Order: sequence, then structure tokens, then C-alpha cells
Amino acid sequence: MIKIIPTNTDNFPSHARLAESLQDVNGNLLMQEGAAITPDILRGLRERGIAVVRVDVYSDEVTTPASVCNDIESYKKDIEDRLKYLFRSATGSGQINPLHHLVFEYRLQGAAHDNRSPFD
Amino acid sequence: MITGHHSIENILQRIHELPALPAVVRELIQSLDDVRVSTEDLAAKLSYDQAIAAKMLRLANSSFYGLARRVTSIEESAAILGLRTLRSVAIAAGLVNQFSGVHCRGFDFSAFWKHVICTALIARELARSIGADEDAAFTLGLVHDIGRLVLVTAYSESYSQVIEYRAMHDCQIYAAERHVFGLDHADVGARLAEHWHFAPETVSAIAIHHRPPVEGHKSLVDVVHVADNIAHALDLSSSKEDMVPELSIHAWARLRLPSDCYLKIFESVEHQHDVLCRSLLS
Repeated sequence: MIKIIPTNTDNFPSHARLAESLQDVNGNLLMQEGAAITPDILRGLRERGIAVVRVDVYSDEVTTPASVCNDIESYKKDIEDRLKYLFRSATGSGQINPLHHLVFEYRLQGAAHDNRSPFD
Repeated sequence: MITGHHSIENILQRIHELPALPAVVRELIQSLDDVRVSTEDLAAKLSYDQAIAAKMLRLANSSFYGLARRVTSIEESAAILGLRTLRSVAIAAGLVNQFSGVHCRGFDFSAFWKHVICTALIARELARSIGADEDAAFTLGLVHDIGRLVLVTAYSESYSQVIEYRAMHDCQIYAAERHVFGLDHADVGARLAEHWHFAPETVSAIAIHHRPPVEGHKSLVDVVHVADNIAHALDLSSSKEDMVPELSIHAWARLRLPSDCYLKIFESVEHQHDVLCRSLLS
């Protein structure tokens, strides 16, 4: 479902991707269509003067036991922290590197598809 | 900056004093454009270089190819690996051998090779996705940071200062190199590639792999630039202090690849990387 959300909100859908590519005033690509929307992304866009974005809201959540949810949250946090560290140069200079969120998405997919528990 | 001690001219001069690339590797690189070269020709040439041949055998016997029996000859390995893989991996093996035995305080050779092998694999996949020359992209990925090895080999003490400066300022490695040497590994790598008679496009791509042009058509420069970024982001080099360099949004946009294409590349490369590193680096 396509929705328009303001970039200054903390209350955005948890499963949302950019519905269309974003460009700056000079026509340079800022973000590609399909990029996952996160609080950091929204903050970066807000700082660039972008007030609203069109997002595609989807839901692929599965019912998961609470203990596994905690493990997944902790795993997700580890990935987030490591990627934040790896991308510290881009973040420091205000650049939105599309790879940051692509690799994050990939790591989460890997955890979901891997038969071995990533939490062992 | 220590250029009063080692002038930029001196540094570039030292490139000419480095050992020449082994003949077999030079021939492999020069044969990239030659459609007449056969797998058998390459196997015959490689069989004369024991170090490279051993790595080819290890790769052919790896779980990646899942053979029930043991491969014992380079000819058999060649038949299993195929011309493209044979040539690309042999070039990688030749480069690894060329710089083995060099020591520099603080320089992690294993992390270096893991990074360039990852960049090469990604560059090959990106090239395939955009219809560019896969072998040239793989080779470019392998040599894009070769200037670091030149500096480490010729000035190991000074390169330790680069590593200390980088750790202290948490900056990109090329910024630390410029501070210490007055030039960076991209400048030095391009000169070495020229000295080794690489194709002019490869020389130029090495020189500008951290700053692709703002305008123009997509090229191998874009491929290696984005591949280098992805390699850092995938974090396969086991380097704790790794840092993703600045991404040129122009290079990224020129490749025009969809997100799912990148996700497939990440998955494919992670598996290949593990196998290739085991074969080449152990």
C-alpha cells in the first residue's frame, strides 16, 4: 500500500520501502526506489529539506515466539551497530550511502534464511 | 609529511626497482583480450609455476566443485575450473605469491588480500550485470589497491606511520597515506600498473578508483569503485577498524542496478569469497 509520510515523524510504518527514487535539486540520486525506511533515513532526508516521502508499506511479519524475537532484536542491533561503525565516514559527512541499508536488509534476510541459528 | 625524506619522485622511482611481475602472470593479463587462447594453453603455461599450480589444484579440489575424486593435475584442474576462472584465479595467485614474505608492523596482509579478492568477485558480478568485460573487472578488482603493497614493500617503516596516523585520526587510509607520503596508493598503484604494462584503461581506473568522474558513461571505474565500497560494507576482510569509503553517487547511479540485483550479488560473493580465500591464502 502506497502512503505519503512526513519526514519529521517518529510514528512511521515499521515495514516500508521508498516507493520512488529521490533526487536532490541538482538531479543527483539520493536514494533508490525500494530502499528500506528507517529513522536514520528519515532524519537524513529531513536535513536535506525533504518534507514528505512516498513509501510502499508492506508486511511480511511471521508469528514468532517471544524468546526468538528477543534474539532477533539483539542480532539486529549487533548488525545495526557494526554497520553504523563501518559507515561512520559517510554518516559523519552527511552522505546517505544506499549500501548501508541494502547490506542491513541482506544481513537480516540471511539470518531469516539460514538454517543454523545465528545466535549460537 | 615525510616527503623531504622520500620525495614523491623517489617513491615513484622505487616502483621500477620492484621485481617484475612473473612472466606467466604477465602473459595471463595480456591474454585477457586474446580470444585464441585455450584452456589447454593456459594449463600448460601454469604447470611451470609450482606455487600457482598448487593453488589451482586446491581450488579444484575444494568443496565448491564437489568432486568425488581427487584432482591431481593442472590440466584436470583447468578442465574443471574453465578458462575464465583459471585465468582470473591464476592472476590472483601470482599476485599473492609476488608479495609474500613482506613484513610491515601493523599491516594485516590477510585482511588486505581478503578485501581485494572480495572486490574482484564483486566487480566481476557487477560487470556481468551491466554487460561489461568480466575478466577485466575481476583483474581490476585484484589490483585496485596494489599501490598499498608497493608502499608497504618499499617503505615498511613509513607505512607503519600511516597505520598509526589512521588509527589516531580514524580517517580513510588514503588520507593517512597522503599525510605521510604526499601521495596515496591509487597514484602509486597506477604507476606500478603502467610499469607492468597493464592496459591504459586499467591504469586510469586504478588511479581514480576513489573518485570516479562526475560525468560520462558507465565504465570499469564505476564498477571497481562500487565494488570496493560493497567489499568494505560486506565486512569480509575481518578488519575490525574497517571503514567504508565515500560512495560516488554518480558511479552508483550510472550502474543503474536494482536493489534485488545487489542482494543476489552479496549472497553469491560471500560463498565464492570463502572458497577462494581458502584456496589462495592458506
